[in-house]
Order: sequence, then C-alpha cells, then structure tokens
Amino acid sequence: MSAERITRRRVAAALTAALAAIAASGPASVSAFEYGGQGRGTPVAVYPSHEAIAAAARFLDTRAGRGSFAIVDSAGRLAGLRVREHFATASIVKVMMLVAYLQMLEGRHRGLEAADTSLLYPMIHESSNNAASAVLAIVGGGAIARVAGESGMTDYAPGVGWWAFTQTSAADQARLLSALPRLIPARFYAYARYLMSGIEASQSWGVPPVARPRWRVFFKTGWLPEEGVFTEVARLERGGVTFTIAVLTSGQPSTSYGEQTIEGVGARLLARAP
Amino acid sequence: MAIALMTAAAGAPAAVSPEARISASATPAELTIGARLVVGGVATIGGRGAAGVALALQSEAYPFRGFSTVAHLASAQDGSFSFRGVTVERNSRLRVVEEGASAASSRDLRVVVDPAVAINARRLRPGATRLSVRIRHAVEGGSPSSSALWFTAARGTRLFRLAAITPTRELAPGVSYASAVIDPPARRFAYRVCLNPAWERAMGPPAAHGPCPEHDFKLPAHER
Repeated sequence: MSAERITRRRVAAALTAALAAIAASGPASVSAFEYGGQGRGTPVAVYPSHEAIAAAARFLDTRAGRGSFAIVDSAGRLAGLRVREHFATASIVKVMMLVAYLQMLEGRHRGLEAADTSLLYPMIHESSNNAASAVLAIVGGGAIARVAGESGMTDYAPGVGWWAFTQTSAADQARLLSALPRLIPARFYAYARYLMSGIEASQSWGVPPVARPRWRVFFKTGWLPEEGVFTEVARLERGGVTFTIAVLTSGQPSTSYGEQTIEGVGARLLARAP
Repeated sequence: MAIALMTAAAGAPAAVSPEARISASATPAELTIGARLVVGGVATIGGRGAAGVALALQSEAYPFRGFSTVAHLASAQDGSFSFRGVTVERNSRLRVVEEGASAASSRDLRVVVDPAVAINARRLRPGATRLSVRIRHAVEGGSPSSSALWFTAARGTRLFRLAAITPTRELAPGVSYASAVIDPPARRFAYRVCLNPAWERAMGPPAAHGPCPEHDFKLPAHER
C-alpha cells in the first residue's frame, strides 16, 4: 500500500483552485494538514438502489395525506420524493436541540454533567417535551438556527408558537443526520449515538422495526396527532455502508396508519439490503 | 522543546569582543519531527574568522515566548562553528549568540517542523476498507480530540468525495490516531485525510494552517 505525504503548499494551491472551479461551497482558503495515499477495495453498489427509492416513492404516493422522504445514500447523494416540501418537524427537531446543546457544552469547555443528561436523556429516550422546552430555553433559538445552517439546511424556519411546528423538509433532515459526525463535538458523539440508538420501544416505530438487527439505527420519531403529522429521521449503518432517511408526513388518518406509512417507506428502501 | 547535541566544535572561549559578528544557517530549515538539523556558521571580528569565541545556541519554540540557551561551544580556528544533532519538536526560531556582555547575535533562523505521518489502507471485506493515519506531533497540553476528514476518489478521477469524518484519539502524548471504514469508490482508489488538530499552529508551514475542505472537491488536471 503506497502512502504519500501531500506537500501542503501544493495542496493549498490545488484545492483553492479546485474549489474556485466548482460550484460547491467551501472555505475561502483551503490548506491544512493533509495526507494521501492509494488504496484497494471491493466497492459495493450505492445503497439504497434507484429501484428501492422508486418503490418507496410509489408506496408513499398511495398513502393518504401528504408525504415526502429523502435519503442521503451511501455515496452521499440526495434523492427521494418531494424532498423540498415543507412540513412541521414535530419531535424530530429534538435532534437539532441535542446537537445545539452538545455544541454549547463544547463551546464552554464543559463535559456532560448530571444536569445535562437529566435533560438530554429524557428528551431523546422518551421524547419528553418538557425536557425539550428546557433545552431550547438554555440553548436559544439562535443555536438551533445555527445548527440548521451548519448542516446545510435550506428549508428551515423556526416554529411559530411551539418548537414542534419548526418548518423543515425531508432533504434538510436527511442532510442533518448525514452531517451528525461533523456537527456533534467528537467527545460527545458516542453519547449522542447512545441516545439515538436506545430510544424506548413505544417511540421506536417506523424504520427501526424493519431495519434491525441488520442495521445499526440512530433515529428520532415525531408526531402531532391532531395534525396527523408523523415524522422520522434515521441514520443507518452497516459495515462500511451508511445512509440516512427522513420521512415527513401530515394528514395521516390515524396513529397506526401514520406509523405504517413511515414503516412502509423504510421497508422498501431497505429491500435487497447488502 | 527538546534539544540535543551530538558534537561540538573544539576551542577555548575567547575574550568578549564587541566587534564580533555571527552569521549562521540551519540545515535543513524544514524537517520532520524527530529528525536532526545542523546550525552552522562563522564568527568574525573585523571581517576575519575569530577563533575561540564562546557561542550559545538559543531556541524559541512556538508559541515564541522567549529564547532560552540550549547548547554552548566555541568557534574553531577559522571562526566556524557547527551545532550538530539539534532536534526540535515544534516550529522554532534559533539564533547563535556570543556569550558574555556582547549583544552579538546571528539573525533568527526559522525552522519548520512537520509531523511524522504513517497512513494505511486495508481491505476488510466487500464494501469496507479501513483507512488509518498515525501521526507523531508536538505535545500540546491535553491534545483534545479533533476530526479527521476522509476523502476518496476512484483511481483516474479527480473528484474527491467526503467519505467519512472520524474523531482522532491520542495513543500517547504526541501520538494521534484516526481511522475510518469506508466503502471504496472503486477497486483502486486514492484517498486523502485532512486534519485541523490542536497542535496545528505549532507545526508545519503557514500554508498548513487553514481549514480542511468540508465538502467534496475536485483537483485540477495537473494535480492528478
């Protein structure tokens, strides 16, 4: 296996020129400790497949109410159905609150203390709204907006009257889950994964039942029964494959129907898994 | 900062001379941590090599809060001197001064110290190749974990996609490690790992002190 130290001055010039040449946004100047080499491996097909995505879209179109979904596939590409359509987040916005809170701790050079986990754990594990309100009061709405910006959201708008009415799109949420390793400070990342993979059974509908045990699932569900809103975001990992799912719905006629809508999308995306 | 000397030029210290001039250079001026350098030059008085001038090698390491003496010797018969086997573990400024009341000093010699890096790619199974990087670097109090950004590109292409972001961990003071299991983009591929660690400003040239790219990037053709 060959290994090469990249001359950093050269890389700086090359990357700056490269970033200037493409439309993708990037830092104004690119230079850092960067090293490169050559590797070998056996690639697997991008996951989920185009066929699986199409099947999930066909299924969602048969369901009552409004619905959209987005995935960031194992190659980092966004796909889905009505990925920019706006929905209320319901409780999936708690993932953004979690990120904001952990970023706040990092900014204050603080570790996790009992007072922190006494809010974060119930907020994610049992989807406590009181804990979420307390977290939001601590971090402030600006921190949530900053997380939206850092994760590349384009459809975010703060909720009017209540945080559960935060506006989002499936594309935004799939990007957020994909960006979690970058957004969450490294020393808190394991804790965040612990929280998002250990949600209590009553909140674990939709994707987890059809993904486990083959996949490690890090997720959050949300629902607003009066509006028929059912939402879910999930990050699925297996071996070297990672992809994220966001399913947003409204107007679902019943709780079981809403949960089955999301489960159906998940099942079709996971069909013929590697 | 650790400084070590292997040999020193012979000669007896001479009387302090206000006319002494010292010219010096460091070779190499950029080196990998653990490597040794030589600070050599000549002490002159009135334009001629001055023998037996008592000299001190002084060093000021990043973050450059003051020089301290790290070695002594006296100039040879022809005024030359050579501090050999000097090791520096972070970016430093070196200078050679005449010991005693004289203010004679060489110009500051800037030495850039690069981390020692070993990278590896190991095929694990279909869809999974482990990339790893092990870095020996300056000891920076605590060296908190940072992120390693991994980019991959199919061989022959110039588009590097962000494949993973993983935390670094310190195996021992001054030794950091990061790894990522990625789905290879092709059977043969190129990869890059980029870091903005806590010790970043203590090492490497200024060009290395910038942010890693946070998105996919494409190299220009001449960089293939």
